[in-house]
Amino acid sequence: MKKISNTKTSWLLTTLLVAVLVGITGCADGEVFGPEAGMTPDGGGPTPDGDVVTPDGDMVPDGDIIDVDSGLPANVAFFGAPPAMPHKAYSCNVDCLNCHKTGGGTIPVTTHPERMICVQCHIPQQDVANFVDTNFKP
Amino acid sequence: MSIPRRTFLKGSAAVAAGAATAPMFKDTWLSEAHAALPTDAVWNKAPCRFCGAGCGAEVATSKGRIVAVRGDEQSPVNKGLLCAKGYGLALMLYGKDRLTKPQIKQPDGTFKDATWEEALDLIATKWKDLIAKDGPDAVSIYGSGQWTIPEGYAAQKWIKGGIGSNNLEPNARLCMASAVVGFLKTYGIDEPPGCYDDFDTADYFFLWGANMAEMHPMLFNRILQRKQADANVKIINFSTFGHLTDQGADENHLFVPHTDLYLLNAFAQVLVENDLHDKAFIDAHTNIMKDTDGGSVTMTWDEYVTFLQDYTPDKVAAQIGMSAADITRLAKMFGDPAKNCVSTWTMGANQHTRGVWVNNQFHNLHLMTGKVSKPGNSPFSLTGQPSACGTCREVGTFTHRLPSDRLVANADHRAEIEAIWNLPSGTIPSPTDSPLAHATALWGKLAAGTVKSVWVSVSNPMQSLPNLNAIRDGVDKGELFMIVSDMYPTETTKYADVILPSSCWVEKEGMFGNSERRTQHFDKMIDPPGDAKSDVWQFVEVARKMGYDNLFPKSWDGDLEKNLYNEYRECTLGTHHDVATYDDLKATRGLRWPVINGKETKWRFNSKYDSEVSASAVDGIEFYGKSDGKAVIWARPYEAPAEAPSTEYPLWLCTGRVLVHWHTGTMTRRVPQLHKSVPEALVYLSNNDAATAGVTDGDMVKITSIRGSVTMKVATECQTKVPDGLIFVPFFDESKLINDVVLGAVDPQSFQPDYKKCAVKIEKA
Repeated sequence: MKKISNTKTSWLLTTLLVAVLVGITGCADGEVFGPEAGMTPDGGGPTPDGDVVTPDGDMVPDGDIIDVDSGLPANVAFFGAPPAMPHKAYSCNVDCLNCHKTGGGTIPVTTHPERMICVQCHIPQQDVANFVDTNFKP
Repeated sequence: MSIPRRTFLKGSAAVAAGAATAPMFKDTWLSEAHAALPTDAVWNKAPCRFCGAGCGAEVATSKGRIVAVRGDEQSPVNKGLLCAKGYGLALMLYGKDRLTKPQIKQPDGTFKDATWEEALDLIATKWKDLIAKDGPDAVSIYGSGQWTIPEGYAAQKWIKGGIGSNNLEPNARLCMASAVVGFLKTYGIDEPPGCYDDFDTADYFFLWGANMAEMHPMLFNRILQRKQADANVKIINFSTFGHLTDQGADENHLFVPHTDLYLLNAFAQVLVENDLHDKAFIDAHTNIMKDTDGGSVTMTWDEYVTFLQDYTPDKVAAQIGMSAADITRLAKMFGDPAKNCVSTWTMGANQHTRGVWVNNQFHNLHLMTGKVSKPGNSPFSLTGQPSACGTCREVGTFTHRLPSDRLVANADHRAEIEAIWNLPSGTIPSPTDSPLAHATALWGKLAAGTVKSVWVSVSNPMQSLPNLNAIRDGVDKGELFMIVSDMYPTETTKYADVILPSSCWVEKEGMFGNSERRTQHFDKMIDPPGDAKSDVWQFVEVARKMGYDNLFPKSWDGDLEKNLYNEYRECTLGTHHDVATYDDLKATRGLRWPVINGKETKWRFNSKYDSEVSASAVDGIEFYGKSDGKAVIWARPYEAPAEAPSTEYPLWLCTGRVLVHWHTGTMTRRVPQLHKSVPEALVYLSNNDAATAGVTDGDMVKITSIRGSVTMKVATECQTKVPDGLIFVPFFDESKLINDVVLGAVDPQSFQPDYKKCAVKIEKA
């Protein structure tokens, strides 16, 4: 197993926090979501047994997704790339910010809420094979 | 490896606290991420390889490979951010099936690796034989809005100045020819009067058939930033179906396909009716014209006002599918003298059998209100390819064009270019000597066998041309000699006789020109894989083998791109298209032409910002593309679409793109993250149309027009939300060739096909 350097480890912890971040606006004013408040209004958030689920009930991975060769989470293509969503994209009319405005637990907080359309950078992923495999190495 | 939850949470809390205070996109975590790159990684600038926005990227390379890409904070276009495709730039060169050796098709149909010498000798011999037997028009070059400026310029010089044929077309004919003819007819000179700076000061944005959130994501972001800075800013989004842009717009209005012709005239009528037009500006700076059989004539203002009476909101609202009250209210917003207005449009307007007319109508609204050529006021055409503007339009790689808006039909223009190319008078063929054939006509000739050979460069026509069934058999007969230069196997390489492996993007030096007249340079940063070579090297080597050494002197070798650019720049000087010096391009994040004495031009035709305007210009405004300095307001009537839904084929088919895939998907599908986001093309249906067909999400349906059919999976979702009676299909998926279904009708003035409207039926498959 490749050892992850200190720099990479430090970065990794940061990335895991922002790994699913999606910047948006439009959250209902005054409401607090995240673990302190329990489940989000659309049914996502932390569950009593410590997991985190999206509003569709999809389990959000919490840190065991590291590619040992690159030191990158599986949903990050290279150092500095926007993380892909590690969970399903759910109903279009649900704001990503319902969870990612305040975050908490394994839900990352967006660092750039001024960016309104999250999926321009943070794209959902389906469990399918590559179209063609890649020779890219981060 | 897993990180213990306790450790992870501790880290999360610390970073969350820090992140909350980060004011800009450039967050601490991003710097830390980049600190994890190899210590020898070097960053260098390059414009994005995908759409025509021309976002600035920075590319990190280490040991001859790309290791990361980031948004270029110094780029005035995107100011540090990229979209998902832009971040995919880092991976797009690394698909495992990169073409690395020339290949020659064998008699049994298989391909065999060859040396460059063998492949280029074969091409040169074949082309010399074809030209000797059938004349220069036996051969042709089909290029691209992804050509760098030196690539397009070399192709232009070689075929028109060397071989002596006008058989040169780019795929850009398919995406913005109507915008070009629109600009030329209105202003007498191509490309937008304004620039992206307008997005930072406009009050109202009118999006007319442009899904900017997906197709020009960072430009839409720039508009959203403007909106966040001023709550009075409004984004009005007109479209024939719902899409991601809806999420950022203040108002979304659906209109019936093809009725933009009505809608824009209704806007003009409301402006006049409510005295919101600027009559002094109209009188001083415009002529009013209409087409007649075989020509065009001027109209009086009163005649134009009378013409508009057929298009009052009350008369056309039902056809458009909007309320007369909405049309009137929105047109009044446009006409508000206190508000700056930007119009943006792209394929919805251009891929239209009357695309030129629709383009003229956009310009009409801005000219009637004087909302043009000043900050925040801009009729702005968005382009789809990274150098459709810089290469196809400015270098003029169309059958009828020469550099800087010159025409092959104009003897003076041919003589000017012959002088720069140091060629005898009469070398460049007139349209009489070598007939003009626009893209779909050229492919018709290739399929019919009247043009014997084509060199396809940086394009995938066997997936992207409309009505593919009409040409595929002819192309497949085996008599056509097809050369394809590309980086990956494509639909088109299947039909090739010779496949040449090409370098791409930062594997070579180049320049692109974006939608706002900005020319941008990028260095060669890494070597291409295997034996791959740049397309410009390929052209020059074959040209030399055929005896055209004079066009590309040996002394240029080693600095081929620079020498080609410098010679091209000579063509632009004194034409109002003057591009920046090579050194200035290297040193900057690009400059917007005309570049006069090293200074770029943000707003053309206004003496405050444009030194090309004459000192005598009235009010400092001069539309100098026209000899009298006046732009043209065109009276454009409604005309029915080439094909409309019928009893047998009851649905409109609209084709286009999705956010994560670019054009025919040859690059983006090889980026795993992009492919896994949208792994296949889906047909988007309304719930009612799905119910009528008896299908639901995930079912297969067969889509059929009178030309062909294709079968694919159904989606009824809310990001791409089509109305009843219309279906949307993206064209990136080579296993689902929707262009077998699309009709081949073109705009009679721009020869651009209409990919947005034809009649189809669907059946459960």
